[in-house]
Amino acid sequence: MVSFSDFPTGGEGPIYLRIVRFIREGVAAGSVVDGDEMPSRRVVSATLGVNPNTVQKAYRMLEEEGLIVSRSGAKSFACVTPESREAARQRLRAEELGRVISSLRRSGMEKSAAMELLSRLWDEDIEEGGEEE
Amino acid sequence: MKKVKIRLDRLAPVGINAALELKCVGAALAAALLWGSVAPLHIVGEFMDFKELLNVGVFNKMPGFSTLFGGALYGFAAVITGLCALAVWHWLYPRLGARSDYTLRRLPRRSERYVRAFAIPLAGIVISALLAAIVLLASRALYTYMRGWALRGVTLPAGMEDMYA
Amino acid sequence: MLELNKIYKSYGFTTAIDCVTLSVGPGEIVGLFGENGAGKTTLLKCALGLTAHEGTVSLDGEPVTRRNIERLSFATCEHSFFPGLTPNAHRDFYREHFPKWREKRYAALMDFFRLPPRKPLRSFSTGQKNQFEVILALSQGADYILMDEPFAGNDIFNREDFYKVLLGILEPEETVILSTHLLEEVENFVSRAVLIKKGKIVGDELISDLEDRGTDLMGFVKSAYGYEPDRVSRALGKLTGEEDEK
Repeated sequence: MVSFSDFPTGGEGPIYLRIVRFIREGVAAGSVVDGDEMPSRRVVSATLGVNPNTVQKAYRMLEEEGLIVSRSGAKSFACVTPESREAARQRLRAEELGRVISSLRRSGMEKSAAMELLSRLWDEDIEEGGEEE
Repeated sequence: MKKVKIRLDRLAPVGINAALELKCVGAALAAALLWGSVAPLHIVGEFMDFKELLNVGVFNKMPGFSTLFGGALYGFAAVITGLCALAVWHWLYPRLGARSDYTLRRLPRRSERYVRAFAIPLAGIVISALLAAIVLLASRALYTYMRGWALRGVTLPAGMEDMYA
Repeated sequence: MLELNKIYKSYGFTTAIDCVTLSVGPGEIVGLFGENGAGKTTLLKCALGLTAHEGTVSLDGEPVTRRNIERLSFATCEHSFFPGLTPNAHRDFYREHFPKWREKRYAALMDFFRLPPRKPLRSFSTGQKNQFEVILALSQGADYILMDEPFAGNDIFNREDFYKVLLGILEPEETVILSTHLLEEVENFVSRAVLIKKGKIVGDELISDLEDRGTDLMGFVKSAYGYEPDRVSRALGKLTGEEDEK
């Protein structure tokens, strides 16, 4: 059963998006595997202290993304394929880069300078022993 | 006895001991009755004195009923006044300490708040009135009887008949 | 459906509720927000018939009478329980008068909040009194649970516990209308926000719609109240004689 016990308290943005991101991160990291049962909406609602409509909204979004699927009545299950896992990872990476890009642009950085900086820091990171997957 | 107590508790505001209140009201009524019962004794006593005087030829004015009866009903008046105050207190009681009147006013059984506030005071007032009437009527009857008894076999001097009409 | 239609209420020359029409459907958790004196408490009391008013209140099309009043319950910071009674005695009283009393829920909540069942309510702490007041409102078997600032005096852990417990036990058909000033806290808990200002409704939105528009409850309230974020800095600027650069 997918657990919401370490759902991060106090994040940014509407909570239904934070729930979606939480599951997406779980899929990307591999803690949510294919066939994992999703807790019922009521349980998530009570665990997080969040209105059931909000949980419903998050679940619907996850369904649209193909990350979960509803089967046999009210139960939902995680639906993870290597493709969807990779897609989740890509999505998270895109979001993170998006945040960095916005921040750099706000500080007035140009694209070419940013690419240079990225390249240089990347190489430094490899040298310091960061593994490439 | 526990079942009776539970039934009784519905007659007083929630949280007030109905049995205790009933006992107090009963005691008050008994006291008022005691107070009122002085009147018949007084009537008898006065007429006996009156008769003695008649026998020795002293023709005093016959005591009137209201003089003899006097304040016999004051006890009942006091009890009724007290019960009116009790009714007011009962009515306001749910608002004291917390607003339990909000709950009472939301009950499907609408009569609940009225029964609890007024059952005991109303019953007390009715019984008071009844007892007062009994004391009055009994005293009146006794007075008439004693009057007849006092005047029996007594020859009135001329011109005094209307004094004892 | 609980429908309040053209409710007016005035105390002497002050209008407390000024033409309020509001409909709340089953399953909604409605937050009723407004500053002190805005009319939240008065509106709830009108809905419950606890205060005289103009306009109508109806439940599924029927006026509220002794036949259906059990479908409405009330928890208030003023406390509507009987201070001299123990929780057990309250349970007996409620069971007698409200046929739909939820015994299992009552027992579970009493257990969860560890309230002493045989001590009179007047000996409870304020926090415990609040908890018991809400327990009664939840266990009555009502479809519409109206709560007026029920957590005044409870610490935050208490309150968060309560929201979670509520969300866990409420059934899909049960409706809650909660008046509170604790905006940020209840934002995730409610599904709909109704704002009252000076006896009138100045805002009524689903939280979901607010999210879709990219705003949150705080933003919604601020704009509905005409809150100007730079008002303070402008005033300060005038006071100190400096020009504000907005």
